[in-house]
Amino acid sequence: MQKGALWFLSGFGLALLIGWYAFPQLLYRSVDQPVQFSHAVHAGEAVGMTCDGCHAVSDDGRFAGIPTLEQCAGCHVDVLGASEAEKYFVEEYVRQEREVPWHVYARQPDNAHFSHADHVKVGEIACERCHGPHGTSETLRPFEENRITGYSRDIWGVNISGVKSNPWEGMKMDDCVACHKENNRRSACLACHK
Amino acid sequence: MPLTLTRRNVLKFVGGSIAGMMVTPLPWKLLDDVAIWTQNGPWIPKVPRGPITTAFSTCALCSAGCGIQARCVNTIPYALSGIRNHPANNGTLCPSGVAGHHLAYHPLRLKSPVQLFRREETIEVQPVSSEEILGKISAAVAISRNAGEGTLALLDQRPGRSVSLFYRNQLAMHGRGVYLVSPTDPILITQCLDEMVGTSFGPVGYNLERVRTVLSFSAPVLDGWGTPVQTSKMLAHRGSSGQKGARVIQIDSRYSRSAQLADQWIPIKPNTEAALAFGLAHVLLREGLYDKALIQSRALDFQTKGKHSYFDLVGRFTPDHTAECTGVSRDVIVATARALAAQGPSLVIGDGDSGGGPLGREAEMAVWGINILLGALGSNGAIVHHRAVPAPKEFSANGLSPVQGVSDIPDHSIGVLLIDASEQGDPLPWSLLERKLIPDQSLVVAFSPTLTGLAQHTHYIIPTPAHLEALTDVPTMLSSATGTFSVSSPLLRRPEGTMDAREIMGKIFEVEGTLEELLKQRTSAIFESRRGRVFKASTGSSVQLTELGSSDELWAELTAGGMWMDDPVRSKPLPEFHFMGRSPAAYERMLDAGEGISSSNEPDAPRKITVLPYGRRAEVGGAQLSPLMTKLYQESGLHRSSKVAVLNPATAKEFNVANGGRGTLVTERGTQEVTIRVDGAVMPGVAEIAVSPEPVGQAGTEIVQEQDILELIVPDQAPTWRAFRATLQKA
Amino acid sequence: MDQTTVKKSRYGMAIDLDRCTGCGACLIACAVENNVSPGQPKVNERNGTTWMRVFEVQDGRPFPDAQTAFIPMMCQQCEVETPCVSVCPQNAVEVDPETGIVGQIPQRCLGCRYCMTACPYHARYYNWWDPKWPDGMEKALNPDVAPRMRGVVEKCNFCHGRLHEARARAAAQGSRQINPSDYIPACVEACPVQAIAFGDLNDESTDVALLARSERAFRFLARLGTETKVYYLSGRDWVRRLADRELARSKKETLHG
Repeated sequence: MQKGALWFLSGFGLALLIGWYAFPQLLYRSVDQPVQFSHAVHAGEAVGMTCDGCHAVSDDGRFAGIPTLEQCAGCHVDVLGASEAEKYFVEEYVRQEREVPWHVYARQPDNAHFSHADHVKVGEIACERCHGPHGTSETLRPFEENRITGYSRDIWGVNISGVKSNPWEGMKMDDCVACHKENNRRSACLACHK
Repeated sequence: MPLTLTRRNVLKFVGGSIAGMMVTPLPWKLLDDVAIWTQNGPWIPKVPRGPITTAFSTCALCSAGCGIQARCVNTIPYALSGIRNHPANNGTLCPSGVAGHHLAYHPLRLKSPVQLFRREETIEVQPVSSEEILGKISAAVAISRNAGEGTLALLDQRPGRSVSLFYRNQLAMHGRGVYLVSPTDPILITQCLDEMVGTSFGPVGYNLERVRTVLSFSAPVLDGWGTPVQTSKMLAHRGSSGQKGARVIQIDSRYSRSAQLADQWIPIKPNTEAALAFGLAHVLLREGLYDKALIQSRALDFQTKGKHSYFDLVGRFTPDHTAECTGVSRDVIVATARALAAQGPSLVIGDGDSGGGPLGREAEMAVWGINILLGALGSNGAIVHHRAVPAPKEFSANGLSPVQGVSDIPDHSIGVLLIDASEQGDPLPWSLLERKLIPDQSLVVAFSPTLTGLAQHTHYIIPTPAHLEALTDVPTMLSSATGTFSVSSPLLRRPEGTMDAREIMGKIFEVEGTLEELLKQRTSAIFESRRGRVFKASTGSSVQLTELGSSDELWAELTAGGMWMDDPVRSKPLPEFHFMGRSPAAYERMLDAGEGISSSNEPDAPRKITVLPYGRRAEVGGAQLSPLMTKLYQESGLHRSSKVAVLNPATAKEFNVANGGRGTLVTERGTQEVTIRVDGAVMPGVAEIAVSPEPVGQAGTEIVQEQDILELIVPDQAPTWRAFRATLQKA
Repeated sequence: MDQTTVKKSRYGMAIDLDRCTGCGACLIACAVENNVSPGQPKVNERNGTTWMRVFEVQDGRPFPDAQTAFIPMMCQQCEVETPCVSVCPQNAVEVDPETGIVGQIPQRCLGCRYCMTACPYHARYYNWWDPKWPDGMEKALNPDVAPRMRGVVEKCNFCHGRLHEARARAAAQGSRQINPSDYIPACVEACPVQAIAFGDLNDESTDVALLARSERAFRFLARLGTETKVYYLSGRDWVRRLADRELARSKKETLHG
């Protein structure tokens, strides 16, 4: 091998290292959720809640998303269990009547319109199709915010290359469009943009 | 094999890096993210996210009392619409009402008390404590009470509210208190009727359902005078609905909205409405188109021996003479009078324009005179009696200070002037108010949510809650056939530093109580009267008051977009009255008003133009306009501000100004720059100029004094400001 | 359920010019609903943004015989040969086949303003400034409509945010068909004299379809053949004659300031 090729290859290698490893580290800022929460406990046998117990579509078709403090305080008016996280939640938020500033993994930008009612009630798509099976998660993973766009990492997908290993990875417009095309659904821009 | 650093090797390294970069996500993802960033950067406001709720209240911007339904996000209203089936607005709103929830964010909003310093064109403000201002007011009030130096006057921009009763009560107890209202206020217009009858005729309203012909003397009958439901009904015969509406004849010196929309427009020389009213009465009398027996038995000055009578007065205004005075052709005068008599029931409205000022006492009486001749005032007429909205006993009439206009009080008499500008009302030129003050010694304080309108002329401002932050009641509209009552309940939380007018006055007069208590007492009084019907916003229908279980239930309905409407009463028969009023020189005053010592007959100074100011209710008298009103004013020209003068092409030519060009209006009081708009529909010789200043869309670095055309009025020129003379030069 | 079973709509409007009083409630209601920001201090008729603009027109007769009419003018939702669609180099405009609504996607727009030149109705507006609201007023923006950035074109889309809302409401009941009373644009709702009718022109029974067939109905610049879906009604001949003339002689698309 020529010496010159070594120079070329070391540049090439460094770029790969930066592009594949350092870039995602720099691009995303990792933030912990303000309160720890276990979906597994709530949806597990002991409590036995279903997804729409907290994340419900109202009669007017609006999706409430993450439950409000009022909903949580419906049960957690006092500390019920033994976990530190719950104690912290009750003391810091319930007692002080402060809404929890949750970081939303699936938050779409202002110009995207997404109706859960349309997809879940009419389209009969399961929650997991887009949100993944997080109903069994023990903890809330850190929220990764794109430093440039402010979007959640879930929008692009975990894999920086854009390659998706699960159907729920990626929530960009392309992902929506692919599914709409496949199922012959609305394709007008204004169907999903506002 | 040592790696030697050569230029060639560095280039190879860079080349390798670039090639490597291309097979990483970095450039592609970066490109995508930067593209997104340009769409979502901090320069684009983020829309709120949160629970969407609906709230109900009543619009308090004017006395129409429209029910409003607010869509709220995180409990903050983001869009307003009318409540369906509401008796005032049936699901619709006017432009001011639609943007009512913006007033809390007005760029000149005040959230803490300030002292004002007026510079050349700007205003500087300095924060002060409310205690300091209240202390100054209390001291001045005590001086006026004890030493008798100057009176304590309160200008109420929205008379008729419950808090207005409280004011009048307190001012009466003070002894030297004066309760002032704008000269265009309906209360003063019905006072003219009281002067004719001799006693209080009682509250009256208009039953538009009964009317086939409406003759309007410059009242904006089709432009915010009545409720949206009433306006809609009057226009019902237009378009394809096939319904019957009233035929509207608009007498107007301006090509106003009502003139544009009316079935007939009768242009008239400015300030000659009284002459036309007499001319119409002349035709009615000459042709016997009135109830002779009734008039002869009731009118005390119809024909009197040895004294000038109404008959003599009207006799002078032959169609030919009236035509000469008013510029309206004799044929039109005769035809109009005949139409009023033949196509009855007819109603003549003399309300005047909110910004343009009142017609004047004599002209108002002349208008009431035609109504009497036409039978509009009496048992079956369109002008109906109604009962006052029940009020707590403590506000019995004896304990209330009388309602006065600015012309009723002497110059240089006011020591302390408090201006309740917490709500929009009718405008009042500052020059008319200023000369009532004791020069250099008076204290002027406004209660206002914004640094706009009359508040700009004061020494201090105590900020009040803005529209939809405030709790207030909405008084009965003049055009309403029965008494009504509704409550505008807050949809927004008021800022910390604000106080409502009741709180401020309570502190000054040291009276306990809150506005809410006052309004609840009023509600109880209504409930105990067991009269009327209540519109419920929740069901969109009305029920008898007696069907409600308690006063609290009534309160709950009223604060959630409901409205109480009194039962109609049988109108009393026409009492004895004087056509010309009871003042000693009644005949002479009426004659002067008719013949016009007005500008039109005086020998014209060269190159003067007649300025006709006008204004829209809820857009003038406080000048609190939603920042979005730039759409109507600057961005579309659909509404015109004080900075635009509309002229006939011939007039523009005479004054050497061109369409789109600039002109300067000059009177003794000052100058104002205007943009000229040429419009072939406008009467020659006049300049139509709106009273309202341009809305403020964005806050500037300094507060610029509002330029209001009313500032140019020379106070002594006329009792009203409907038309005034100014020179116009090309700028 | 397959897409094809969903009823195709052609949303349209009928505006009675004999009833319109020129109050401007529609114009303000539109700006409130669609998060159009207040004008900058130097804003004027040429560079302002009003998706719905009310023009005051006269018959040209001199005082005192002049007649006035008010013409609310917004995107006319051209059905065929839609001029703005065919000129857009960015594919930022399209006609939704399901609703007939001409949609404008600001994020795609590069601001060339070719569409503004092409639009026969001057119903398109260019954002000369970044949208800005007085302090605190961002909290009172409509959550259903995204604000647009400087440098893009925008226009009326029949309050599409309200259609989204109506669809979601129907979906909550498991239906794909919206309840027509759930979808009423802001201008229609606000009009104090109820001069505007709105609905599906494909549905013969709607008020708007009925009015569109009335003798008094006409469309502006119908000779262009763009099959607009906004009908106007007037019994006055001089008003009807305006239909063939260019209404807005605005230079807003070529001049700044």
